[in-house]
Amino acid sequence: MIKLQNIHKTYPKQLGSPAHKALETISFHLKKGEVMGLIGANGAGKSTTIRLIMDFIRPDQGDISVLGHPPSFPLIRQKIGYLPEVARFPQNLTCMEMIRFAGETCQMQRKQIEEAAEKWLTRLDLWHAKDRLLRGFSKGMQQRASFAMALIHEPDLLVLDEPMSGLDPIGRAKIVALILELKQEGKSILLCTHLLDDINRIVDQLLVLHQGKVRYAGELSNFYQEPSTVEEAFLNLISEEQ
Amino acid sequence: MQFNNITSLARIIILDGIRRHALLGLLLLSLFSEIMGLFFMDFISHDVGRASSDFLFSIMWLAGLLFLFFHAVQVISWDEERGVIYSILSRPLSRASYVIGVFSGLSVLLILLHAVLGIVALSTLIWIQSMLDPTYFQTLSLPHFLLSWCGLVIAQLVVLSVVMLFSGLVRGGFPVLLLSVAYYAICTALPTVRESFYQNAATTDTNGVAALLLQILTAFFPDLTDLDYKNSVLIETLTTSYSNIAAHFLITSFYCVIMIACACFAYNRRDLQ
Repeated sequence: MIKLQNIHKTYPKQLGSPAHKALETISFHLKKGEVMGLIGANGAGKSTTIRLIMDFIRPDQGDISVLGHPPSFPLIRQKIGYLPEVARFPQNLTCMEMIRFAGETCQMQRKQIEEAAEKWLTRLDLWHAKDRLLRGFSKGMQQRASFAMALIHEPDLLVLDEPMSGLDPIGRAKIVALILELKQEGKSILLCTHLLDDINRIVDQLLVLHQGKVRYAGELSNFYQEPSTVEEAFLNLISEEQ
Repeated sequence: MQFNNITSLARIIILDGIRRHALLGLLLLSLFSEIMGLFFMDFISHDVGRASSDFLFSIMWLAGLLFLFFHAVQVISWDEERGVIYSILSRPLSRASYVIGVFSGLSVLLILLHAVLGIVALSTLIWIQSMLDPTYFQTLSLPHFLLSWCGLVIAQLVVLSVVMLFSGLVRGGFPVLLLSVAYYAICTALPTVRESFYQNAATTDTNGVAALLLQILTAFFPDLTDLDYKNSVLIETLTTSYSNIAAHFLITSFYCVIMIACACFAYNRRDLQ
């Protein structure tokens, strides 16, 4: 579903900040039906990886293939559900208008959009607020609206950048349950997070990034051994590197 | 398929725009100013028709520029600064479709703004004419009013297309605003410079390099006064030929298309950080 080979990315020098090497020789492969966790400290290169996959930025070197096509091919995004780290919308639209836009761009019929919107907005506790302007939504509500947009077209691949960001414990539990349900349905998921508690409940594969390099890529079960936790194993790995 | 996506994007830009309080405020203020034209004519002793027409078209022009520099620039740049662009481009939209969709949405908003202001301006002119003796306000030509209105709209669409291009080339709202204002200032000043240069050239030796430079600059900074037909609103017969008018409209439309194509190219090449 997603294949990155020898990716290098350096952000060019800008006024007041030097050039910054964000990723160096990154390679990984997310197969169909797998759930991969992408973890790392701040500045490790997680968001850069996600942005490369979504074609917001382009690599300096290396190949990226998403659903068998280069990420710049727009039609592949009909099969991708993307949840940004911070949900941002044009503020004067209602939740339903944004959902309708999301459905229309995936060539869904009006009736299909209405049905899917009811399903996902109800599931995400937003049905009552569907006709409210997004500028009046709390951070958590905006995040859930963004999740509904990502799921409206029943994508095969989900790219989730910090899906629990801005959510209260109840909202977080609901999102974890939803991701687990999507996993059961056989969706491929790339989950970028720094909340390591949730990782071992959700993911099969783990990719650990640190300072732009892959420090671990493989099965989650091989990453740590009980009674140790993912968090301890991660901290040990990073401290060894430093 | 991309056409449907462009339409969907344009629709959300329009919906977002018409609910923006600042834009509604701009519309109301412009309408109020236009209606004040009724009182303005009381202070004019001669040529009331021309003064009123100039006043009303100036209000429309100013409202359009405020829309371009303070709404359009913000919409395009804030999209990127606030991250809205990630939500939009995560849909199956190419970057070129994004540029065309945003341009289409903002163009519709600009045309709507001018349509409302144009109707009120025309009504105001008709009202003023009905109140005056024909000696002071003899002719009001509806086709010429429409021509002037179209000229004004297409000139401002040129500025919008250039705003789109600058947004693709530089990051941040303020630099885009500065560049757009500078572009508009050069477009406005260049005809005066050219006229002055050719007047001097008639009496002294012509500087070939300077003449060529002026011609090249005119290709980049088009003469928007070519589309200014507001003086024709009060006359029966046009002083310019129809072919000349059509040529101006065609060249300007072509210029807009080129600017949008360049904006698509610029957006397609850049990183959206």
